[in-house]
Amino acid sequence: MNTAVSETLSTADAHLRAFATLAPDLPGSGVEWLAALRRDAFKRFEDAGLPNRRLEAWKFTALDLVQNGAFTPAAAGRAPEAPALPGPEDWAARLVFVDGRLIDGLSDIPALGDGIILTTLARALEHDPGLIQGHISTATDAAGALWDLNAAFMADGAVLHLADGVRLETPISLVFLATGATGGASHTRNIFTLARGAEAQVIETYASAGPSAAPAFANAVTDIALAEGAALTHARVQDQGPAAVHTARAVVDVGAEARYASFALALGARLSRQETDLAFSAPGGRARLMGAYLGRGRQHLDHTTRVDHAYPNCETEELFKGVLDDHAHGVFQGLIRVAPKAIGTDARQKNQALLLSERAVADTKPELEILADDVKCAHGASVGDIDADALFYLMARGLPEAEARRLLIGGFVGEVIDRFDAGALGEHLHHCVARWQDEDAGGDDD
Amino acid sequence: MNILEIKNLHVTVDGTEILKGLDLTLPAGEVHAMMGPNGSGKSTLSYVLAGREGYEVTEGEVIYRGQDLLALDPDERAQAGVFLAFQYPVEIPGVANSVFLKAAVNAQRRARGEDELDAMDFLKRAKTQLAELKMEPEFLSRPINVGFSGGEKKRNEVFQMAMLEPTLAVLDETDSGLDIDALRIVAEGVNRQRAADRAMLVITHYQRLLNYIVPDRIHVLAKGRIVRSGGKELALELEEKGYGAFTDEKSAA
Amino acid sequence: MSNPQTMDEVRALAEREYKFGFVTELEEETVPKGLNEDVIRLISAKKEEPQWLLDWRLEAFAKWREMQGHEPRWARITHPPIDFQDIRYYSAPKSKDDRPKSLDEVDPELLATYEKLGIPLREQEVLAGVAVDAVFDSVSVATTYKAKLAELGIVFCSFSEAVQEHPELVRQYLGSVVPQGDNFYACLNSAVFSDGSFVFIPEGVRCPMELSTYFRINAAETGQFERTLIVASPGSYVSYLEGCTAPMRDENQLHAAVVELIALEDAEIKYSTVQNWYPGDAEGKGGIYNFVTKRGACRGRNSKISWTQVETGSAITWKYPSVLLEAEGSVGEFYSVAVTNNLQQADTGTKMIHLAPNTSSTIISKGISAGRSQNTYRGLVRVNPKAANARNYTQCDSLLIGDQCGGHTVPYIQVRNRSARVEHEATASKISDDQLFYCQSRGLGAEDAVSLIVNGFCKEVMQKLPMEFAVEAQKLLGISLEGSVG
Repeated sequence: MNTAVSETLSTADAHLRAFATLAPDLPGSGVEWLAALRRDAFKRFEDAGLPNRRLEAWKFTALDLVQNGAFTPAAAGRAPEAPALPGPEDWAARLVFVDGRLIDGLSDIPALGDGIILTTLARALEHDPGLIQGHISTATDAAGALWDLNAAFMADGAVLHLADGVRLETPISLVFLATGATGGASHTRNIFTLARGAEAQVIETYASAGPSAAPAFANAVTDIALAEGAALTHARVQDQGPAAVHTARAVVDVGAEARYASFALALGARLSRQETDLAFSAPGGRARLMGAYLGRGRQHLDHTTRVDHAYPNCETEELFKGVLDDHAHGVFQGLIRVAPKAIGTDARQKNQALLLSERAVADTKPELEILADDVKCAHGASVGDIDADALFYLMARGLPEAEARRLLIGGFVGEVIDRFDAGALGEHLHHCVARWQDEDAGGDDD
Repeated sequence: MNILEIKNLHVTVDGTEILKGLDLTLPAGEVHAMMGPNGSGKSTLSYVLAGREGYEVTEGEVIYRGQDLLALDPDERAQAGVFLAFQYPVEIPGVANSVFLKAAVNAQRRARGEDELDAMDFLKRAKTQLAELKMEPEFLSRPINVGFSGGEKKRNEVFQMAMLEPTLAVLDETDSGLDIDALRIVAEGVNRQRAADRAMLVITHYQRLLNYIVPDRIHVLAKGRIVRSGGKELALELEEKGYGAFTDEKSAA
Repeated sequence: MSNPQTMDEVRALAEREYKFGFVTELEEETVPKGLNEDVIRLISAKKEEPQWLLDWRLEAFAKWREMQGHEPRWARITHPPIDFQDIRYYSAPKSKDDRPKSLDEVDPELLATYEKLGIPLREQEVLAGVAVDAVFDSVSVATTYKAKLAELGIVFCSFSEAVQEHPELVRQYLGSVVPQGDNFYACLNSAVFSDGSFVFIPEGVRCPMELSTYFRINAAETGQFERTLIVASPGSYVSYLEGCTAPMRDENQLHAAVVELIALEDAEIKYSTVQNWYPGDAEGKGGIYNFVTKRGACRGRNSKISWTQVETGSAITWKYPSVLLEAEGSVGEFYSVAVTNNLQQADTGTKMIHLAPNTSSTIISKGISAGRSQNTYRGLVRVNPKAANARNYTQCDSLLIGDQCGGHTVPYIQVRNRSARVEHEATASKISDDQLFYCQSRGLGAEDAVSLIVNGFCKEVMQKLPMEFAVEAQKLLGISLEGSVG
């Protein structure tokens, strides 16, 4: 442990300096509970240091790039001129953040009607901190140090609140661009709270703007609270530039009979880790966690999920699929915990990875921790090449091998997107995958 | 003109010789049936013709419309008009039938220098063929063979054949797993494909199918060789005497 | 399974609770508690070991001292720190000097002990097909049926004897699969191991009978550190059985064994264990800490190593019988049933390391937890870049009985070759009320019904056990789950 801390000293020092300098200027600096939360979070981060591979939760993913890059929080971003804005075609509102801060000129935030509040973290902290008080999560152990780092430095993000029974039919599109221009890190914090019976769709897209080779570090946290009977469909698309580091975490509280459906898609970045930390806080909730990771070149793509079944009769379905080409390294870690008393739990978890090249690597750890007896739990995992029978079947119908492979890979990933079952958002995800397949010109392989 | 000529074909699978000098000539416009007991090499023949890996041709040749079929990759064979209706059609989750079949039809059209079908034309043709086979249009949006019953899988094979319009169709035990109604529908689908410029090889274990698809000739395959050939009446003789008589006859000879 | 004879026996045994908890009144020769170089020299001297082996032990001890404070902590087990200076590292029945020349000379009390254990030690029982090497505390007391095996060139003897008689073989293979510093407990074993079994099967020989060892910890405050080494020459086959018991004692006792298997070209080793060390009482008092390192190396082409284990005993079980698939076409198997009841803890599983092309492995694990116990499957399947066309299939199922126990599954899958195909499936469930009711409505008592259902749940694994063990293992399952249903 001690050696680990000394290794990260330079990074920690840099952050210490940044915290001392930046803290007074961070939004909500005058709000005492928030200042205390930031201080405590930073203290824990200092004690823990950046996670290293000796921590079980980080066994397969090293944060060397963050250590060596010594990223510190970026200064306020300057918007590039008319950047291409990724995300779906249709949206009820679109918020565009550059290097972690909202750019009004690129955003479109119409009034969405009674019972819907859509604003930014910075504005909420300035004008109505009560709206988000109690909804900002922080780390629970050393493995969550980046989570605390986010709490200490969070400057902006989207805040969405839906009142009882309000339904938003069209997705809210959140776009996060990293320019890398300031050489820094952005710590975005989104907060979605859905009151009883409210329903919404949100898509977060993380991408790069400007020179794609510029390193950037996006460290995002999205806090989600779903009250009784609420339903959120939540897509996260990570398509950052090839030099970027992306770490993101969704922290989800699922209330009684509430439903949460998510899709985490990893396409870009040199190093990516998307985490989901979900807890049922009342009986009868349902969670569907879907995801895919498509890697080539030397990408390292990690999906880590933790689902806590602490109440009876909740249901979880998890499916993550990986496609790994060149030297790409894919990681899936999934922990399902069933507490004593959480009877009637139905939890299924599955991970499948396709290795397309000799050098691709897949690590998988689907984990069950079960402390109740009246449960149904299952997990499965498989790793291998494209199924030879399927390939032959398609070629026997006249498809050239490359086209047959493309179709099979598209279908392999497409199956998870279909399972996500999110209408237009699903279509958009299919589109993202198809574009990734089109990019396969082999140019990325170093 | 002969569509297919197989001469002295020897095939080894995992070091074991399965086909041991098979000869077969299939002229245009004809339907031939290949019958034989389990393990006689029927499916091996169908996979060798389609180009599956793991089937090593150690001797002999296969000439398809004057060219060496064995030199072609599986997709090139399909593009040249060879179609295999699989005994066990493969399930492929996530890929819709329509997406797959449109890609296949157009890959073949491209190879023949024809224009690709657009989505509308493709859909029109597909729906017509589906109706002929008494299949619902929803079938097109389902993933390939996933969750299909045995009968649905076999109908899907015949549907693909109708869409791809092959010159040589090899049907590997297309009758297995079908009830009598499904068998009739499938056989009618096959019969509609009979044409003067095409040839078909119907591989089957049972005589039953041949009541519906009446062959021009029947060959009996045993222990990797054709031991007997004859007209359609041969099927009835087989039904009566069983395969044993033919295999013994061969060994006695 | 519903054989009434077996059921009656189960009931009878159940009334006695831990059946094997008797203490044998024997004069024991022991060394003082604690561990230092002198103790190691003493152990080595008592065994009249050659210098190289003493050096090897001392080297291991030096490594172990550096590992202080680095006991493995990743397993899901908890126990108070072990005071390694409070353990006696050597204990032997005193009559060693006039070692028995034949069974007639064996201390009758010892023989009675074995009889109570049901060990077929006598020749007439041996003729049933089991040759037994019995390790009592730390010393191998008798090996039966040796002559018959010798005719075939098979060496089956105590480890100490092998050191004297076949030093070149021991020296060649000792530590070649589990190196001295492999892990904390294996390292301790390397320094202080007292005895164990040694098996050598010559080229092309198919061992005509099951070779068997029974281990028993008898003396109080004693650790048991046996070491087993099995070498199967090219084209040979051996099936080896291992059974374990220990008396009921209030304090915890440490068992830190090492087993090394080496399978050369076309050889096959089948290693079966029925582990029934004392599990402690219903309140968790006493019981064995079973911290064991078992590993086999498939060193020759097309060799095969198969582990089968039925783990019902011990307060804590920490073991991962593994296979290193080093040669092309080799096969590794792991079949496991682990039952925990009361306050038992088990963290057990396997590692299948695919290092060569066309290697395959199968893992079938059945965990049954009852009472307030914790039962964890922990396994690693690793396919290295050179292991083209590697195959693994893993199935691990947990069965929970009662709402205060835990059943956990922690599989690690690491694939570094695209042509690999690795599949893992796991389920967790409880015995359904419907199943219980159905059995009861046919006249079975609740506990018999549980025993029946559990045996069915474990069937795939039990089938892998040699016949002699299967019956015993089935009984043990029933006994271990006594009191688990209300």
